[in-house]
Amino acid sequence: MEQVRRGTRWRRMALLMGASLGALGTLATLTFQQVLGFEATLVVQDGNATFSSSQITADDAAFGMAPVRLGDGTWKNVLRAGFASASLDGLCVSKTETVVGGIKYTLKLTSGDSGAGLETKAANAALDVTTLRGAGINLQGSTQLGQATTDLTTAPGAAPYLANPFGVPSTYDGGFFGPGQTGPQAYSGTGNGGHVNGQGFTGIDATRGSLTNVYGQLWQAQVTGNITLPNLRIRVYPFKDDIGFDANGTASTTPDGIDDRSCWTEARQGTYPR
Amino acid sequence: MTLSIRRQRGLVLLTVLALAGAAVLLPRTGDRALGQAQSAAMQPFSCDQPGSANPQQRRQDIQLDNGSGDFNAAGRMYPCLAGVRWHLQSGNVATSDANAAIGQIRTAYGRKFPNTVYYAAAGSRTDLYQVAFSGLQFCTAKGAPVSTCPTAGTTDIQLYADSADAPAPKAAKNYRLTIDPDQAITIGGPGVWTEVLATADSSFTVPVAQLPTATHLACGLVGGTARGGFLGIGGTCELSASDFAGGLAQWLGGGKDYTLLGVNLDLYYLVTHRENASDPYTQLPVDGSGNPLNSVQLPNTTISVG
Repeated sequence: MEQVRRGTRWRRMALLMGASLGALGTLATLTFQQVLGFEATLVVQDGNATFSSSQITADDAAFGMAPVRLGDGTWKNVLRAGFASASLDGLCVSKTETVVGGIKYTLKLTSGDSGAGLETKAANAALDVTTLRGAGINLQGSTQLGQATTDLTTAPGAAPYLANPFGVPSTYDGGFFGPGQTGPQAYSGTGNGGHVNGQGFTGIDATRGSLTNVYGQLWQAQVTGNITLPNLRIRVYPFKDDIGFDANGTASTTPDGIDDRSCWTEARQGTYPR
Repeated sequence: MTLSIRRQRGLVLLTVLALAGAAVLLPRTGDRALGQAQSAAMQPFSCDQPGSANPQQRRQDIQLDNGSGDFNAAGRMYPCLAGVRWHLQSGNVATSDANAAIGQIRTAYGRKFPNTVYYAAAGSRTDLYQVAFSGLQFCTAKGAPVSTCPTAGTTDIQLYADSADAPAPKAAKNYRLTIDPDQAITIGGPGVWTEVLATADSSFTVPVAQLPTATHLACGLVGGTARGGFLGIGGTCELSASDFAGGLAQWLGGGKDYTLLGVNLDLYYLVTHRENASDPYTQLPVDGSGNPLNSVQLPNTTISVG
Protein backbone atom coordinates (compact mmCIF):
# COMPACT_ATOMS: atom_id res chain seq x y z
CA MET A 1 0.00 0.00 0.00
CA GLU A 2 1.32 3.45 -0.94
CA GLN A 3 2.61 5.53 1.93
CA VAL A 4 0.63 8.76 2.32
CA ARG A 5 2.46 11.73 3.80
CA ARG A 6 0.41 13.50 6.43
CA GLY A 7 0.87 16.69 8.45
CA THR A 8 1.74 20.28 7.70
CA ARG A 9 4.55 21.19 5.31
CA TRP A 10 5.92 23.88 7.57
CA ARG A 11 8.56 25.36 5.24
CA ARG A 12 6.09 25.85 2.42
CA MET A 13 3.50 27.06 4.89
CA ALA A 14 5.92 29.62 6.37
CA LEU A 15 6.77 31.05 2.96
CA LEU A 16 3.17 31.43 2.00
CA MET A 17 2.18 32.79 5.38
CA GLY A 18 5.00 35.36 5.37
CA ALA A 19 4.15 36.62 1.91
CA SER A 20 0.47 36.72 2.69
CA LEU A 21 0.81 38.60 5.93
CA GLY A 22 3.23 41.07 4.40
CA ALA A 23 0.90 41.79 1.54
CA LEU A 24 -2.07 41.91 3.86
CA GLY A 25 -0.33 44.43 6.10
CA THR A 26 0.54 46.63 3.16
CA LEU A 27 -2.98 46.56 1.81
CA ALA A 28 -4.51 47.12 5.24
CA THR A 29 -2.31 50.15 5.80
CA LEU A 30 -3.26 51.47 2.41
CA THR A 31 -6.91 50.89 3.17
CA PHE A 32 -6.83 52.74 6.47
CA GLN A 33 -5.18 55.67 4.77
CA GLN A 34 -7.89 55.67 2.14
CA VAL A 35 -10.74 55.49 4.63
CA LEU A 36 -9.27 58.36 6.59
CA GLY A 37 -9.19 60.44 3.43
CA PHE A 38 -5.46 60.63 2.81
CA GLU A 39 -4.42 60.70 -0.79
CA ALA A 40 -4.05 57.10 -1.81
CA THR A 41 -1.23 55.63 -3.78
CA LEU A 42 -0.65 52.77 -6.20
CA VAL A 43 -3.08 49.92 -5.80
CA VAL A 44 -1.51 47.40 -8.13
CA GLN A 45 1.54 47.34 -10.37
CA ASP A 46 3.31 45.20 -12.92
CA GLY A 47 0.44 43.28 -14.41
CA ASN A 48 -1.20 39.99 -13.43
CA ALA A 49 -4.13 41.84 -11.88
CA THR A 50 -7.79 41.89 -12.73
CA PHE A 51 -10.78 43.96 -11.69
CA SER A 52 -14.57 43.96 -11.95
CA SER A 53 -17.56 46.05 -10.95
CA SER A 54 -21.32 45.91 -11.41
CA GLN A 55 -21.45 49.54 -12.43
CA ILE A 56 -19.01 52.41 -12.87
CA THR A 57 -20.25 55.93 -13.56
CA ALA A 58 -17.33 58.23 -14.20
CA ASP A 59 -17.28 61.96 -14.86
CA ASP A 60 -14.65 63.38 -17.21
CA ALA A 61 -13.84 59.91 -18.41
CA ALA A 62 -11.08 59.30 -20.93
CA PHE A 63 -9.35 56.35 -22.54
CA GLY A 64 -6.01 56.79 -24.23
CA MET A 65 -3.13 54.71 -25.49
CA ALA A 66 -0.07 55.18 -23.32
CA PRO A 67 3.44 53.70 -23.16
CA VAL A 68 4.50 52.05 -19.91
CA ARG A 69 8.19 51.53 -19.30
CA LEU A 70 9.06 48.04 -18.13
CA GLY A 71 11.84 47.01 -15.78
CA ASP A 72 14.17 46.16 -18.66
CA GLY A 73 13.75 49.64 -20.14
CA THR A 74 11.48 48.63 -23.00
CA TRP A 75 8.00 50.01 -23.51
CA LYS A 76 4.62 48.36 -23.44
CA ASN A 77 1.47 49.94 -24.89
CA VAL A 78 -1.58 49.91 -22.65
CA LEU A 79 -4.98 51.57 -22.68
CA ARG A 80 -5.08 54.10 -19.85
CA ALA A 81 -8.59 54.76 -18.52
CA GLY A 82 -8.91 57.78 -16.29
CA PHE A 83 -11.61 59.83 -14.67
CA ALA A 84 -11.99 62.80 -12.38
CA SER A 85 -14.49 61.10 -10.11
CA ALA A 86 -16.29 57.82 -10.20
CA SER A 87 -19.09 56.10 -8.34
CA LEU A 88 -19.15 52.33 -8.34
CA ASP A 89 -21.57 49.59 -7.45
CA GLY A 90 -19.07 47.15 -6.00
CA LEU A 91 -15.39 46.82 -6.71
CA CYS A 92 -13.16 43.77 -6.98
CA VAL A 93 -9.38 43.86 -7.54
CA SER A 94 -7.29 40.71 -7.53
CA LYS A 95 -3.61 40.10 -8.12
CA THR A 96 -1.64 36.90 -8.38
CA GLU A 97 1.91 36.84 -6.99
CA THR A 98 4.65 34.24 -7.10
CA VAL A 99 6.98 33.73 -4.13
CA VAL A 100 10.14 31.70 -3.56
CA GLY A 101 9.76 28.16 -4.79
CA GLY A 102 7.31 29.13 -7.48
CA ILE A 103 4.39 29.13 -5.09
CA LYS A 104 1.56 31.33 -6.35
CA TYR A 105 -1.15 32.98 -4.37
CA THR A 106 -3.88 35.49 -5.17
CA LEU A 107 -4.76 38.59 -3.17
CA LYS A 108 -8.34 39.68 -3.58
CA LEU A 109 -9.88 42.96 -2.46
CA THR A 110 -13.65 43.41 -2.62
CA SER A 111 -15.85 46.29 -1.55
CA GLY A 112 -19.57 46.97 -1.70
CA ASP A 113 -22.79 47.10 0.28
CA SER A 114 -24.52 44.29 -1.66
CA GLY A 115 -27.13 46.79 -2.87
CA ALA A 116 -27.70 48.33 -6.26
CA GLY A 117 -26.52 51.81 -5.26
CA LEU A 118 -23.24 53.42 -6.25
CA GLU A 119 -21.66 53.21 -2.81
CA THR A 120 -17.95 53.11 -3.68
CA LYS A 121 -16.27 56.40 -4.60
CA ALA A 122 -12.91 57.27 -6.09
CA ALA A 123 -11.35 60.49 -7.36
CA ASN A 124 -8.57 61.07 -9.86
CA ALA A 125 -8.10 57.45 -10.78
CA ALA A 126 -6.22 55.89 -13.67
CA LEU A 127 -6.27 52.25 -14.74
CA ASP A 128 -3.87 50.76 -17.25
CA VAL A 129 -5.68 47.89 -18.92
CA THR A 130 -4.81 45.48 -21.68
CA THR A 131 -8.35 44.11 -21.95
CA LEU A 132 -11.64 45.56 -20.81
CA ARG A 133 -15.07 44.04 -21.24
CA GLY A 134 -18.43 45.60 -20.46
CA ALA A 135 -22.02 44.48 -20.89
CA GLY A 136 -22.65 48.15 -21.57
CA ILE A 137 -20.09 50.87 -22.29
CA ASN A 138 -21.98 54.11 -22.70
CA LEU A 139 -20.27 57.43 -23.38
CA GLN A 140 -22.42 60.47 -22.69
CA GLY A 141 -22.32 64.18 -23.42
CA SER A 142 -19.65 65.42 -25.75
CA THR A 143 -17.36 62.59 -26.85
CA GLN A 144 -14.20 62.95 -28.91
CA LEU A 145 -12.22 60.21 -30.60
CA GLY A 146 -8.84 60.69 -32.26
CA GLN A 147 -7.15 63.18 -29.97
CA ALA A 148 -3.60 62.52 -28.84
CA THR A 149 -3.61 61.01 -25.34
CA THR A 150 -1.65 64.05 -24.16
CA ASP A 151 -4.70 66.15 -25.03
CA LEU A 152 -7.22 64.22 -22.93
CA THR A 153 -8.60 65.95 -19.85
CA THR A 154 -9.81 64.27 -16.67
CA ALA A 155 -8.60 66.33 -13.73
CA PRO A 156 -9.64 68.16 -11.66
CA GLY A 157 -13.13 67.55 -13.09
CA ALA A 158 -13.86 71.11 -14.22
CA ALA A 159 -11.98 73.81 -16.07
CA PRO A 160 -9.24 74.85 -15.78
CA TYR A 161 -8.04 71.32 -16.52
CA LEU A 162 -4.58 69.96 -15.93
CA ALA A 163 -2.46 69.42 -19.01
CA ASN A 164 -1.61 65.85 -19.96
CA PRO A 165 -3.03 64.16 -16.84
CA PHE A 166 -2.11 60.73 -18.21
CA GLY A 167 1.57 61.66 -18.24
CA VAL A 168 2.34 60.47 -21.75
CA PRO A 169 5.77 61.80 -22.79
CA SER A 170 5.28 64.86 -24.96
CA THR A 171 8.91 65.41 -25.95
CA TYR A 172 11.25 62.94 -27.60
CA ASP A 173 13.87 62.93 -24.86
CA GLY A 174 11.26 63.89 -22.32
CA GLY A 175 13.65 63.69 -19.41
CA PHE A 176 12.14 60.27 -19.13
CA PHE A 177 15.33 58.48 -18.31
CA GLY A 178 16.71 61.01 -15.90
CA PRO A 179 19.93 63.04 -16.31
CA GLY A 180 22.61 61.15 -18.14
CA GLN A 181 20.49 58.06 -18.67
CA THR A 182 19.53 56.52 -21.96
CA GLY A 183 17.28 53.78 -23.19
CA PRO A 184 14.78 52.82 -25.85
CA GLN A 185 12.46 55.67 -26.73
CA ALA A 186 8.69 55.60 -26.47
CA TYR A 187 8.51 57.16 -29.96
CA SER A 188 9.62 55.80 -33.30
CA GLY A 189 11.66 58.93 -33.94
CA THR A 190 11.66 62.61 -33.36
CA GLY A 191 10.13 65.54 -35.19
CA ASN A 192 8.78 69.03 -34.64
CA GLY A 193 11.97 70.01 -32.83
CA GLY A 194 11.54 67.14 -30.38
CA HIS A 195 8.01 68.20 -29.44
CA VAL A 196 6.35 64.94 -30.40
CA ASN A 197 3.22 65.99 -28.49
CA GLY A 198 1.73 62.50 -28.12
CA GLN A 199 1.40 61.89 -31.86
CA GLY A 200 0.57 58.25 -32.55
CA PHE A 201 -1.09 57.67 -29.17
CA THR A 202 -4.81 57.97 -29.84
CA GLY A 203 -7.56 58.45 -27.29
CA ILE A 204 -11.23 58.92 -26.47
CA ASP A 205 -12.52 61.72 -24.25
CA ALA A 206 -16.07 61.82 -22.89
CA THR A 207 -18.01 64.05 -20.54
CA ARG A 208 -19.27 60.95 -18.76
CA GLY A 209 -18.70 57.22 -19.04
CA SER A 210 -21.15 54.65 -17.75
CA LEU A 211 -19.96 51.05 -17.67
CA THR A 212 -22.16 48.13 -16.66
CA ASN A 213 -20.93 44.68 -15.58
CA VAL A 214 -17.38 45.56 -16.45
CA TYR A 215 -14.19 43.58 -15.92
CA GLY A 216 -10.69 43.59 -17.27
CA GLN A 217 -7.02 42.78 -16.97
CA LEU A 218 -5.04 45.45 -15.18
CA TRP A 219 -1.45 46.36 -15.73
CA GLN A 220 -1.42 48.98 -13.03
CA ALA A 221 -3.83 51.31 -11.26
CA GLN A 222 -3.49 54.52 -9.37
CA VAL A 223 -5.85 56.66 -7.33
CA THR A 224 -4.46 60.02 -6.30
CA GLY A 225 -7.68 61.37 -4.80
CA ASN A 226 -9.79 60.04 -1.98
CA ILE A 227 -11.29 56.60 -2.18
CA THR A 228 -14.10 55.17 -0.08
CA LEU A 229 -14.35 51.40 0.13
CA PRO A 230 -17.31 50.26 2.27
CA ASN A 231 -17.26 46.72 3.65
CA LEU A 232 -13.74 46.18 2.46
CA ARG A 233 -12.62 42.55 2.47
CA ILE A 234 -9.13 41.33 1.73
CA ARG A 235 -8.56 37.65 1.18
CA VAL A 236 -5.58 35.52 0.26
CA TYR A 237 -6.06 32.36 -1.77
CA PRO A 238 -3.58 29.69 -2.81
CA PHE A 239 -3.52 29.75 -6.59
CA LYS A 240 -6.10 27.55 -8.24
CA ASP A 241 -6.68 27.26 -11.96
CA ASP A 242 -9.15 24.60 -13.05
CA ILE A 243 -11.25 26.84 -15.26
CA GLY A 244 -10.56 28.43 -18.63
CA PHE A 245 -12.61 29.91 -21.41
CA ASP A 246 -12.79 29.26 -25.12
CA ALA A 247 -12.83 31.93 -27.80
CA ASN A 248 -16.56 32.40 -27.33
CA GLY A 249 -16.19 32.97 -23.60
CA THR A 250 -17.66 29.58 -22.67
CA ALA A 251 -16.14 28.08 -19.53
CA SER A 252 -14.08 24.92 -19.94
CA THR A 253 -11.81 22.77 -17.80
CA THR A 254 -8.70 23.94 -19.65
CA PRO A 255 -6.66 26.20 -17.35
CA ASP A 256 -6.06 29.71 -18.65
CA GLY A 257 -3.37 30.82 -16.19
CA ILE A 258 -5.75 33.08 -14.26
CA ASP A 259 -6.89 32.18 -10.75
CA ASP A 260 -10.41 30.78 -10.56
CA ARG A 261 -11.17 33.12 -7.64
CA SER A 262 -9.91 36.20 -9.51
CA CYS A 263 -12.28 39.05 -10.32
CA TRP A 264 -11.76 38.22 -14.01
CA THR A 265 -12.81 34.58 -13.81
CA GLU A 266 -15.77 35.25 -11.53
CA ALA A 267 -17.01 38.04 -13.79
CA ARG A 268 -16.72 35.84 -16.86
CA GLN A 269 -18.94 33.38 -15.01
CA GLY A 270 -21.46 36.12 -14.32
CA THR A 271 -20.57 37.09 -10.73
CA TYR A 272 -19.85 40.75 -10.06
CA PRO A 273 -19.22 42.58 -6.78
CA ARG A 274 -22.10 44.73 -5.60
CA MET B 1 -57.61 109.98 -29.57
CA THR B 2 -55.39 112.90 -30.58
CA LEU B 3 -51.74 113.06 -29.51
CA SER B 4 -49.88 116.28 -29.03
CA ILE B 5 -47.29 117.25 -31.63
CA ARG B 6 -44.50 116.51 -29.13
CA ARG B 7 -45.82 113.01 -28.45
CA GLN B 8 -46.30 112.32 -32.15
CA ARG B 9 -42.65 113.35 -32.80
CA GLY B 10 -41.53 111.14 -29.91
CA LEU B 11 -43.49 108.20 -31.26
CA VAL B 12 -42.02 108.65 -34.75
CA LEU B 13 -38.51 108.89 -33.28
CA LEU B 14 -39.00 105.71 -31.27
CA THR B 15 -40.33 103.93 -34.36
CA VAL B 16 -37.32 105.00 -36.43
CA LEU B 17 -34.93 103.92 -33.68
CA ALA B 18 -36.67 100.55 -33.36
CA LEU B 19 -36.47 100.04 -37.12
CA ALA B 20 -32.80 100.97 -37.19
CA GLY B 21 -32.09 98.63 -34.29
CA ALA B 22 -33.91 95.77 -35.94
CA ALA B 23 -32.00 96.34 -39.18
CA VAL B 24 -28.70 96.13 -37.33
CA LEU B 25 -29.67 93.01 -35.44
CA LEU B 26 -31.31 91.21 -38.37
CA PRO B 27 -29.13 88.19 -39.33
CA ARG B 28 -27.80 88.40 -42.87
CA THR B 29 -26.55 85.70 -45.16
CA GLY B 30 -22.84 85.38 -44.67
CA ASP B 31 -22.89 86.31 -41.01
CA ARG B 32 -20.84 83.86 -39.00
CA ALA B 33 -20.89 83.48 -35.29
CA LEU B 34 -17.38 83.45 -33.92
CA GLY B 35 -18.24 80.70 -31.46
CA GLN B 36 -16.24 79.86 -28.39
CA ALA B 37 -12.54 80.57 -28.51
CA GLN B 38 -9.74 78.15 -27.85
CA SER B 39 -8.79 78.41 -24.20
CA ALA B 40 -5.99 77.24 -21.97
CA ALA B 41 -8.60 76.23 -19.40
CA MET B 42 -10.34 73.75 -21.71
CA GLN B 43 -7.35 72.70 -23.85
CA PRO B 44 -4.40 73.04 -21.46
CA PHE B 45 -1.92 70.86 -23.34
CA SER B 46 0.53 72.81 -25.50
CA CYS B 47 0.05 71.35 -28.96
CA ASP B 48 2.95 73.46 -30.08
CA GLN B 49 5.44 73.89 -32.87
CA PRO B 50 8.84 75.26 -31.82
CA GLY B 51 9.57 78.58 -33.48
CA SER B 52 5.92 79.57 -33.69
CA ALA B 53 4.63 82.40 -31.58
CA ASN B 54 1.38 80.49 -31.16
CA PRO B 55 1.75 77.94 -28.33
CA GLN B 56 -1.11 75.96 -29.88
CA GLN B 57 0.13 76.10 -33.47
CA ARG B 58 -0.69 72.46 -34.23
CA ARG B 59 -4.09 72.38 -32.54
CA GLN B 60 -6.87 71.89 -35.08
CA ASP B 61 -9.76 74.34 -35.33
CA ILE B 62 -12.91 72.49 -36.39
CA GLN B 63 -16.06 74.46 -37.01
CA LEU B 64 -19.13 72.36 -36.38
CA ASP B 65 -22.45 71.81 -38.08
CA ASN B 66 -25.58 73.23 -36.49
CA GLY B 67 -27.64 70.09 -36.99
CA SER B 68 -29.19 71.36 -40.21
CA GLY B 69 -26.34 71.25 -42.67
CA ASP B 70 -24.80 74.62 -41.80
CA PHE B 71 -21.12 73.95 -41.15
CA ASN B 72 -20.59 77.52 -40.05
CA ALA B 73 -22.30 77.05 -36.71
CA ALA B 74 -21.08 78.71 -33.56
CA GLY B 75 -19.62 75.63 -31.90
CA ARG B 76 -15.99 74.72 -32.45
CA MET B 77 -13.64 72.00 -31.29
CA TYR B 78 -9.88 72.29 -30.91
CA PRO B 79 -8.36 68.81 -30.78
CA CYS B 80 -4.65 68.04 -30.84
CA LEU B 81 -4.89 65.12 -33.23
CA ALA B 82 -3.00 61.86 -32.74
CA GLY B 83 -2.79 61.24 -36.49
CA VAL B 84 -3.94 57.64 -36.01
CA ARG B 85 -6.57 56.41 -38.44
CA TRP B 86 -9.67 54.79 -36.96
CA HIS B 87 -11.45 52.25 -39.10
CA LEU B 88 -15.15 51.41 -38.86
CA GLN B 89 -16.40 48.63 -41.07
CA SER B 90 -19.58 46.59 -41.27
CA GLY B 91 -21.56 44.84 -43.95
CA ASN B 92 -20.34 44.95 -47.54
CA VAL B 93 -20.00 48.24 -49.39
CA ALA B 94 -19.76 46.29 -52.68
CA THR B 95 -23.04 44.47 -52.19
CA SER B 96 -25.69 44.50 -54.91
CA ASP B 97 -28.39 43.29 -52.52
CA ALA B 98 -30.58 46.24 -51.55
CA ASN B 99 -32.21 44.21 -48.78
CA ALA B 100 -29.04 43.36 -46.84
CA ALA B 101 -29.44 46.16 -44.30
CA ILE B 102 -26.94 46.60 -41.49
CA GLY B 103 -28.42 49.78 -40.04
CA GLN B 104 -29.31 53.35 -40.70
CA ILE B 105 -27.54 56.70 -40.93
CA ARG B 106 -29.85 59.57 -40.12
CA THR B 107 -30.00 63.17 -41.27
CA ALA B 108 -26.59 63.15 -42.87
CA TYR B 109 -24.74 66.11 -44.38
CA GLY B 110 -21.23 66.43 -45.77
CA ARG B 111 -18.67 68.90 -47.00
CA LYS B 112 -15.05 68.99 -48.06
CA PHE B 113 -13.22 70.15 -44.95
CA PRO B 114 -12.02 73.61 -45.94
CA ASN B 115 -8.82 73.78 -43.90
CA THR B 116 -5.56 71.91 -43.63
CA VAL B 117 -5.73 69.26 -40.91
CA TYR B 118 -2.61 69.09 -38.75
CA TYR B 119 -1.43 66.22 -36.60
CA ALA B 120 0.06 66.81 -33.16
CA ALA B 121 3.72 66.93 -34.16
CA ALA B 122 4.26 66.40 -37.88
CA GLY B 123 2.26 65.83 -41.00
CA SER B 124 -0.90 67.38 -42.32
CA ARG B 125 -3.46 66.79 -45.02
CA THR B 126 -5.93 68.77 -47.04
CA ASP B 127 -8.05 65.92 -48.38
CA LEU B 128 -10.42 65.13 -45.53
CA TYR B 129 -14.19 65.41 -45.57
CA GLN B 130 -16.50 66.43 -42.76
CA VAL B 131 -19.59 64.27 -42.50
CA ALA B 132 -22.24 65.11 -39.92
CA PHE B 133 -25.25 63.05 -38.92
CA SER B 134 -27.78 62.71 -36.14
CA GLY B 135 -27.28 59.02 -35.65
CA LEU B 136 -25.64 55.88 -36.94
CA GLN B 137 -27.52 52.91 -35.60
CA PHE B 138 -26.78 49.35 -36.52
CA CYS B 139 -29.56 46.74 -36.71
CA THR B 140 -30.61 45.37 -33.36
CA ALA B 141 -33.39 43.10 -34.62
CA LYS B 142 -35.73 42.50 -37.50
CA GLY B 143 -37.25 45.84 -38.42
CA ALA B 144 -35.06 47.86 -36.04
CA PRO B 145 -34.19 50.46 -37.10
CA VAL B 146 -35.21 49.64 -40.71
CA SER B 147 -37.54 47.03 -42.14
CA THR B 148 -34.82 45.05 -43.92
CA CYS B 149 -32.70 44.46 -40.81
CA PRO B 150 -31.91 40.81 -40.12
CA THR B 151 -33.48 39.04 -37.15
CA ALA B 152 -30.17 38.59 -35.34
CA GLY B 153 -29.17 42.23 -35.85
CA THR B 154 -25.72 43.34 -36.96
CA THR B 155 -22.83 41.77 -35.11
CA ASP B 156 -19.96 42.01 -37.62
CA ILE B 157 -18.86 45.49 -36.62
CA GLN B 158 -15.15 46.22 -36.72
CA LEU B 159 -13.77 49.31 -35.06
CA TYR B 160 -10.05 49.69 -34.52
CA ALA B 161 -7.09 52.05 -34.67
CA ASP B 162 -3.69 50.98 -36.03
CA SER B 163 -0.78 53.09 -34.86
CA ALA B 164 1.31 51.76 -37.74
CA ASP B 165 -0.77 53.91 -40.09
CA ALA B 166 0.20 57.14 -38.38
CA PRO B 167 2.97 59.31 -39.79
CA ALA B 168 6.16 59.56 -37.73
CA PRO B 169 6.77 60.38 -34.99
CA LYS B 170 4.51 57.76 -33.47
CA ALA B 171 4.63 54.95 -30.90
CA ALA B 172 7.92 53.07 -31.17
CA LYS B 173 6.06 49.81 -30.76
CA ASN B 174 3.03 49.55 -33.02
CA TYR B 175 -0.32 48.67 -31.51
CA ARG B 176 -3.87 47.98 -32.58
CA LEU B 177 -6.60 49.26 -30.29
CA THR B 178 -9.69 47.19 -31.00
CA ILE B 179 -13.24 47.92 -29.92
CA ASP B 180 -15.10 44.69 -30.58
CA PRO B 181 -18.84 44.75 -29.91
CA ASP B 182 -20.81 41.51 -29.91
CA GLN B 183 -24.02 43.45 -30.50
CA ALA B 184 -25.14 46.44 -32.53
CA ILE B 185 -23.63 49.73 -31.47
CA THR B 186 -25.16 53.18 -31.74
CA ILE B 187 -23.27 56.40 -32.44
CA GLY B 188 -25.35 59.47 -31.71
CA GLY B 189 -29.07 59.50 -31.16
CA PRO B 190 -31.75 61.78 -29.73
CA GLY B 191 -30.38 65.23 -29.03
CA VAL B 192 -26.88 64.28 -30.16
CA TRP B 193 -25.11 65.38 -33.31
CA THR B 194 -22.04 63.49 -34.57
CA GLU B 195 -19.33 64.70 -36.92
CA VAL B 196 -16.31 62.94 -38.37
CA LEU B 197 -13.27 63.94 -40.40
CA ALA B 198 -13.02 61.09 -42.89
CA THR B 199 -10.94 60.21 -45.91
CA ALA B 200 -12.36 60.86 -49.37
CA ASP B 201 -12.64 57.16 -50.16
CA SER B 202 -14.57 56.33 -47.03
CA SER B 203 -17.84 54.99 -48.32
CA PHE B 204 -21.26 53.75 -47.46
CA THR B 205 -23.73 51.87 -49.57
CA VAL B 206 -27.45 52.58 -49.72
CA PRO B 207 -30.41 51.31 -51.74
CA VAL B 208 -30.78 53.09 -55.09
CA ALA B 209 -34.48 53.37 -54.29
CA GLN B 210 -33.65 55.99 -51.65
CA LEU B 211 -31.85 58.31 -54.11
CA PRO B 212 -33.62 61.05 -56.06
CA THR B 213 -35.30 59.50 -59.14
CA ALA B 214 -34.44 56.04 -57.67
CA THR B 215 -32.17 55.27 -60.62
CA HIS B 216 -28.56 54.29 -61.26
CA LEU B 217 -28.28 57.54 -63.16
CA ALA B 218 -28.70 59.49 -59.93
CA CYS B 219 -25.96 57.42 -58.31
CA GLY B 220 -23.62 57.92 -61.27
CA LEU B 221 -24.25 61.64 -61.54
CA VAL B 222 -22.66 62.30 -58.14
CA GLY B 223 -19.80 59.87 -58.74
CA GLY B 224 -21.20 56.88 -56.89
CA THR B 225 -21.01 53.25 -57.99
CA ALA B 226 -24.30 51.49 -58.78
CA ARG B 227 -24.63 47.73 -58.54
CA GLY B 228 -27.43 45.23 -59.12
CA GLY B 229 -30.96 46.16 -59.98
CA PHE B 230 -32.55 45.88 -63.42
CA LEU B 231 -32.51 48.33 -66.32
CA GLY B 232 -30.96 51.04 -64.15
CA ILE B 233 -33.55 50.74 -61.44
CA GLY B 234 -33.12 49.20 -58.00
CA GLY B 235 -29.92 47.73 -56.63
CA THR B 236 -27.39 49.59 -54.55
CA CYS B 237 -25.29 52.72 -54.70
CA GLU B 238 -21.90 53.06 -53.03
CA LEU B 239 -21.21 56.67 -52.13
CA SER B 240 -17.84 57.91 -51.00
CA ALA B 241 -17.43 60.81 -48.58
CA SER B 242 -16.35 62.96 -51.53
CA ASP B 243 -19.46 61.98 -53.53
CA PHE B 244 -21.67 62.75 -50.60
CA ALA B 245 -20.07 66.13 -49.98
CA GLY B 246 -19.78 67.13 -53.62
CA GLY B 247 -21.57 69.93 -55.43
CA LEU B 248 -24.65 67.78 -55.95
CA ALA B 249 -24.84 66.75 -52.33
CA GLN B 250 -27.98 68.70 -51.58
CA TRP B 251 -29.70 67.23 -54.59
CA LEU B 252 -28.51 63.82 -53.44
CA GLY B 253 -30.51 64.30 -50.32
CA GLY B 254 -28.56 66.18 -47.67
CA GLY B 255 -30.39 65.70 -44.41
CA LYS B 256 -31.98 62.41 -45.43
CA ASP B 257 -32.08 59.14 -43.55
CA TYR B 258 -30.41 56.29 -45.42
CA THR B 259 -30.61 52.56 -44.94
CA LEU B 260 -27.05 51.31 -44.63
CA LEU B 261 -26.03 48.20 -46.55
CA GLY B 262 -22.34 48.58 -45.87
CA VAL B 263 -20.00 51.10 -44.29
CA ASN B 264 -16.26 51.43 -44.67
CA LEU B 265 -15.15 54.50 -42.81
CA ASP B 266 -11.61 55.78 -42.21
CA LEU B 267 -11.61 58.70 -39.85
CA TYR B 268 -9.12 60.81 -37.96
CA TYR B 269 -11.52 62.53 -35.63
CA LEU B 270 -15.03 62.05 -34.32
CA VAL B 271 -16.94 64.37 -32.04
CA THR B 272 -20.45 64.23 -30.65
CA HIS B 273 -22.20 67.28 -29.31
CA ARG B 274 -25.62 68.68 -28.68
CA GLU B 275 -27.25 69.97 -31.86
CA ASN B 276 -26.11 73.49 -32.58
CA ALA B 277 -24.19 73.71 -29.32
CA SER B 278 -22.43 77.05 -29.02
CA ASP B 279 -19.79 75.58 -26.72
CA PRO B 280 -19.57 71.78 -26.73
CA TYR B 281 -16.77 71.88 -24.16
CA THR B 282 -19.16 73.07 -21.47
CA GLN B 283 -22.25 71.03 -22.27
CA LEU B 284 -23.64 68.72 -19.61
CA PRO B 285 -23.93 64.98 -20.26
CA VAL B 286 -27.70 65.27 -19.93
CA ASP B 287 -30.31 67.19 -21.86
CA GLY B 288 -32.63 69.79 -20.35
CA SER B 289 -34.96 67.06 -19.07
CA GLY B 290 -32.22 65.20 -17.28
CA ASN B 291 -32.06 62.43 -19.88
CA PRO B 292 -28.53 61.31 -20.76
CA LEU B 293 -27.11 62.50 -24.05
CA ASN B 294 -25.99 59.08 -25.20
CA SER B 295 -23.11 59.73 -27.57
CA VAL B 296 -21.68 56.28 -28.13
CA GLN B 297 -23.32 53.08 -26.92
CA LEU B 298 -21.30 49.89 -27.00
CA PRO B 299 -23.21 46.83 -25.69
CA ASN B 300 -21.33 43.63 -24.85
CA THR B 301 -18.05 45.07 -26.01
CA THR B 302 -14.45 44.04 -25.50
CA ILE B 303 -11.73 46.67 -25.78
CA SER B 304 -8.25 45.25 -26.17
CA VAL B 305 -4.72 46.30 -27.02
CA GLY B 306 -2.72 44.11 -29.35
